[in-house]
Amino acid sequence: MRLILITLLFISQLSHATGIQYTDAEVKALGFEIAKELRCPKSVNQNLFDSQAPIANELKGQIFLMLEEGKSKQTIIDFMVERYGDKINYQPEVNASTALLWFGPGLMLVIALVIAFLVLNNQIKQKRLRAKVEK
Amino acid sequence: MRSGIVQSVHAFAADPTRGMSVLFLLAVFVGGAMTLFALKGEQIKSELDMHLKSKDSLLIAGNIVLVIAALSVLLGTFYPLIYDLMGLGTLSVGAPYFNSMFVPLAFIVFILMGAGPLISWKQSKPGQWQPIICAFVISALIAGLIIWLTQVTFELSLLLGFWGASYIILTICYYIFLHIKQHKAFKRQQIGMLIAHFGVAISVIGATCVSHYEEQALLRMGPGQGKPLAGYIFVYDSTVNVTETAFTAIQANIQVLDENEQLLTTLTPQRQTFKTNGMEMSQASIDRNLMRDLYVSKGQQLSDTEYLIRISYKPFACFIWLGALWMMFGALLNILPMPIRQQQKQTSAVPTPIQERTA
Repeated sequence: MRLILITLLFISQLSHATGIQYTDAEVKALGFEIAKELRCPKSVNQNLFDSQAPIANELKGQIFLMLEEGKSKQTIIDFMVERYGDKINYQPEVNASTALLWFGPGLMLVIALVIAFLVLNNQIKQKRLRAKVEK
Repeated sequence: MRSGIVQSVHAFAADPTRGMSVLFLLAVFVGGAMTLFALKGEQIKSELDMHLKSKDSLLIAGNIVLVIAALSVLLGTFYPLIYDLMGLGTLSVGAPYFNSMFVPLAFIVFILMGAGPLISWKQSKPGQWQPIICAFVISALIAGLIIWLTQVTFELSLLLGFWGASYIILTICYYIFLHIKQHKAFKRQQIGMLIAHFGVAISVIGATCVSHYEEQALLRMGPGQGKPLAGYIFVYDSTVNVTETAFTAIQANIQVLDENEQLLTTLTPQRQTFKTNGMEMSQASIDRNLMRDLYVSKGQQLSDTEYLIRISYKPFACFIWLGALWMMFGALLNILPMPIRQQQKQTSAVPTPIQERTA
């Protein structure tokens, strides 16, 4: 609870000791962006940004606190994943086990278009052949 | 209704009674359509009489992309489940994934959609492709100009959104121009198509603006406190307790003032507690007009008088729904059967009266 109070209200008052120096607007935009990509551990199917659960507010506070410390977006997400597991990240990272998820639709699209092209082309050719034979 | 295996995005059917009515609707619509197809499917045969460069193949390609989009939703929904079953651990697939799949797929559909009406059936005529390519290039410039003028952080989905929308509108304009130039009359189906395509452009503009021009604030507010946002001033007026039949609520009265501090409206977001099961819900309050939605929601209590308040300014949010209405109207124009009299007029100019023949 205290975290929210500190971070939401006195965001700009913390010192920038190390890491990236964000402007206030950047902290706000980036903080919201990260909160929208993380899943609330308590509320079913809500991201941290939308969730009103106490834990979500605490984690939002944590995000802003880490941004104030100059941590990058990736560092913050890694921190959250380490603490709450992969499940918290709405955007699974690309690796061997998620390759099908990320590249599946693109692959399916290419395959479907190629098949459609081959089938159509084949039928068109056959039709022309038949027309020639009839002549 | 719910097996609980897959967590749905929406929690609207948490109780089983509503599930039955959803199931009934599915049975009627999906079951009905499938039965009809099973009975009449044999009669649907199409003679393939087309070339690769034709309206027909554009339509086929468009349908393929739409099916892939649907499949990517299926994949995203079931991937966490399969992942878990295979013992790889748990993971979540959410909005960022679906956005990164849908935006490019939608853009491909838009390209095909703009080209389709301008290309002939069966085989395209020479000179039909150049205007489409022109429209594609010009709309890229328009999109770039809009982004440059509005000074917003660049993102790919922003560019693709404006690019697609302006491209569709340009091709529609060119279609109308061609028709008028050649003194052709518009058929009802063509008008329906134009309206539906325009609806898509409207929806895309709305969605693009909401995702990239939204302004929001998450802050602690109590009576007497205010916050300026996007040219409006939000003033927390008072907190009141509301009792309804089903729930009790703590309601915040938040006044919306314009730049000259004139009162526009009062928004009343609530934190509701339901009497039957003690469930707590946030009920947001929205002030809607054509140009923007103002959205205020109320979170937990932070001190004796102060609450966590979320304010959003969502420009052109209405366009998303208006576009859908256009699409619906356009589709209706196309599927409604023609009045019988009109059909007769078209088939035979002089209908022979039955009376005469029998007499």
